Amino acid sequence: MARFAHIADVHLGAFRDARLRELNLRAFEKALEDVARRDVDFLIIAGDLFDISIPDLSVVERAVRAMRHVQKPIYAVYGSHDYSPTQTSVIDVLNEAGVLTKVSSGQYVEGMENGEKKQKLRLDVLTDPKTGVKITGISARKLGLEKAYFQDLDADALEALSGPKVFVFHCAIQEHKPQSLQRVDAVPLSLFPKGFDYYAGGHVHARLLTDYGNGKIAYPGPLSAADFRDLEELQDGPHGFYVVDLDAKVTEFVAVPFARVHLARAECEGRTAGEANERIQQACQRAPSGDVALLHARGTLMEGKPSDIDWTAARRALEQTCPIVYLNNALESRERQEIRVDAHTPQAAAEKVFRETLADRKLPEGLGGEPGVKLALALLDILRQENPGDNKKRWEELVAAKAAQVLGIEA
Amino acid sequence: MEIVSQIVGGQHAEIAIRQKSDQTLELGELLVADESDGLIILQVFDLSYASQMQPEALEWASGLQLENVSSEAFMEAHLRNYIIAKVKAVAHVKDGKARTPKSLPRFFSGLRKLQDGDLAFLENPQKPLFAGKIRSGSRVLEKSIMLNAAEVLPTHVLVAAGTGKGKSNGMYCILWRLLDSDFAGVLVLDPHNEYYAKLKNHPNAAQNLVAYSPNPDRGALTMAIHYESVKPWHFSGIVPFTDAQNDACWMYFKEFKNRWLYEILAREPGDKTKEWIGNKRLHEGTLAVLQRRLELSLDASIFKPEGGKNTVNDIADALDAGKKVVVDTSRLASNTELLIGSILAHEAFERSRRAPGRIKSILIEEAPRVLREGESNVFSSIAREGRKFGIGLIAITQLASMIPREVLANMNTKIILGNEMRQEREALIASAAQDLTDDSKAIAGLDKGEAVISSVYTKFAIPVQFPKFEDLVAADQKVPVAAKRFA
Repeated sequence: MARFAHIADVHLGAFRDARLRELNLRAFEKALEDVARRDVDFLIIAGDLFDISIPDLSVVERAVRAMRHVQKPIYAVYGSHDYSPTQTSVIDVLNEAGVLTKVSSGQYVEGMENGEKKQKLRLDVLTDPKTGVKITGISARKLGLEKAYFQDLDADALEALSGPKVFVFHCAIQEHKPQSLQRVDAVPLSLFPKGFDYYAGGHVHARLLTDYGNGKIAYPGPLSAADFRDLEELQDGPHGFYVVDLDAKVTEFVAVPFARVHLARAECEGRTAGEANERIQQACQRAPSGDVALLHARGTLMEGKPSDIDWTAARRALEQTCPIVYLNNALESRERQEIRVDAHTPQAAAEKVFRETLADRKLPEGLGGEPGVKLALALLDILRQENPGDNKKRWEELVAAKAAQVLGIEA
Repeated sequence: MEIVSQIVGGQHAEIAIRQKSDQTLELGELLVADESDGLIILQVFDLSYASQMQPEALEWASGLQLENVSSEAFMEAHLRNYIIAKVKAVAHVKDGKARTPKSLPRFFSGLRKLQDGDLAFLENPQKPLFAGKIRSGSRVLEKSIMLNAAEVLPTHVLVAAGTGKGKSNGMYCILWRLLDSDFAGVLVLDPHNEYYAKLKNHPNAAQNLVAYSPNPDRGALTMAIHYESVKPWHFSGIVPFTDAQNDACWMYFKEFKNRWLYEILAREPGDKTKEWIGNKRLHEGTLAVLQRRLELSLDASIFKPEGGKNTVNDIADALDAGKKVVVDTSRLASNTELLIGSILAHEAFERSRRAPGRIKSILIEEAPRVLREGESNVFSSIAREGRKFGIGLIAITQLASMIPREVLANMNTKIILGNEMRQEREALIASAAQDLTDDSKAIAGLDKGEAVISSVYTKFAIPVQFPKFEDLVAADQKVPVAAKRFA
């Protein structure tokens, strides 16, 4: 009898707004209290427990307290946000401290493929002492580079394992990508080892439970919310985690209470700035009382600029009933020749902007096209990471060193 | 350099040369006449015996030898009996550029064999399309032919050959070299499930190659197309519907939009369908036949009511990004394969029309299935209009004569491999960019992998030899791979 909980994409420490950050932390604590109460043998965290690899210590402290409270083994992989190529992520610290166990380890060995020598990635397999369930997995790397690991994977060795087994991963699967992530790097399903009972996934902020052979591929979606899109999607139903009974082959979704979120939408395509302002103010009136109000204004203005909108009035109107207001100004001006992208997350938006900007530009090899997009995203990612508390000079040095690493030059 | 023959007569398109006695000339061989202002390249297209002796005397001498009456040889036989070759001037190279020859080489010029150095005029385009190595008769030179893909791919390529003459090997070589870079997206409809296995070991395969299959090998993607990705126009010229069936498709599409297929296949007529049947706009029988024909065309292993929603867009994105996309259609009926091709080609064509970006090409085997007389479909549209938008076809066939003449003429580059069938050679020669009237015999005699490239973008019809694919791959994989580390 093996039962376990599967959570993913917690993104502790996400949000600049301290109140939203607190809601996200609180949801994690509640979820783990729930896991502790349940009859489960262990917990799997399928990546992105933290929003960055070196988060604020106060966030780590609360996370550790919550995880220790579970009093059950916790098995985890890096996510794309808390990954560190130098093993200096908070996940490594927690692994060393025995708070959780990183299940993504292995080594390259000489192998054969189609009669030719090839370096194959042989993953280490951990056995849960109580249930005997074998657990292994592949962490995320930046820019979707984990795909190379999947390509090199010695799948035969994993497929030969007997007994119940779980594969943990943090990447999108090409065949099961939601449409909103269409251009996100993904791994073909055929690269996954076959014969596992459960494939515990993370990265895709959408819930999915589907058959794969005799097992299940499962993405529980975000545990709570880590960005505007997550908050917006709470309108369609609660977020949470899975509880899995491997023997009974039953996977149950458990909702995690988060906050009452109200969404005010204003579709302003083809409107003048004046008309758009009217729509936006109207959408913000008489919002039901809640914890978080979102304003999503989108469209290209026929005349005027987004800055002509009275955003302060809109915010005030929403604050009448909701203490936390989050604006997503996706308005564009036709007067400015901007690059138009339609994306729900800052990451996706950045990717699209880079792609549009670099399209057909004559640049030296490696700086244009898709390689250029990846390079720009990697550099932006470095800039996005918060200063872990060092002084400014040290922080600048750190950013320069990481950028040099990405560019393959000496700092 | 050694003189191997000498001009002894003839006219511009049919120069007679005498072969030196210790040399051997071959059909298709390239020779060079050095001129004061450059050089003229000539190609052998016919060979015949010649003798200074009367035919009766030769026959008499033969009789003496055959009947063992005398074993006497001719006096100065190498001077009296010889080989005359007919050659044509194919290029005049002057100041590093090749031009169509407008004058004859000097009378009595000595001719030498073509060397790699004589081909310095051949360009190395920024977007190269590898088309084998230059061949002179059966001698293969080091020089590779690199066509300009930016010109050649959007204006269509025809690859024509008889059975076993090296079509597939040639295409593997071309695609292998295209995988070196991402300037061109190529969609390969693979009815034999061979291309992915051949190409997946390319050093850039992880970045530039995507494969789809209903039963994917490791690394390939599952081929699934959602019902909502299928539109009535995808069937045009692919699945032969009657007018009534076609109208029914459109009525459903107009009424139910993306759900039109569900509505027909589910056969639970809603109010609208009942009304159409009630007022005789649609007959129950038409609907029943249409449903059956759709079910036959929409193979359940590919077309799904759930899943596969992104497939068409993913493939179009990959082509836009200059990737090579191989779709395994080996286990599918021809109609289903062509329907998949139609759906993907429509999307790629539409995107190119909206915003031409990278050049794109669609490779289709047994091309006459979709390029045939009186048939209008997306492939014939691309053949007609694709060049304006940077999208073209790579049509592979054994039966070029089955392709309509105007389509054949629109295929600006032809890779002609060996073909014993005269009718097929004539169709190719009639539509070639250069006058190949005298080359029919040479084409018939091409061995496996030997080809002639006739293109409006080359100064002459270039004889080439495609390397053996395995040799090409081996040459690329000599670089040792650094030890990998798992982090």
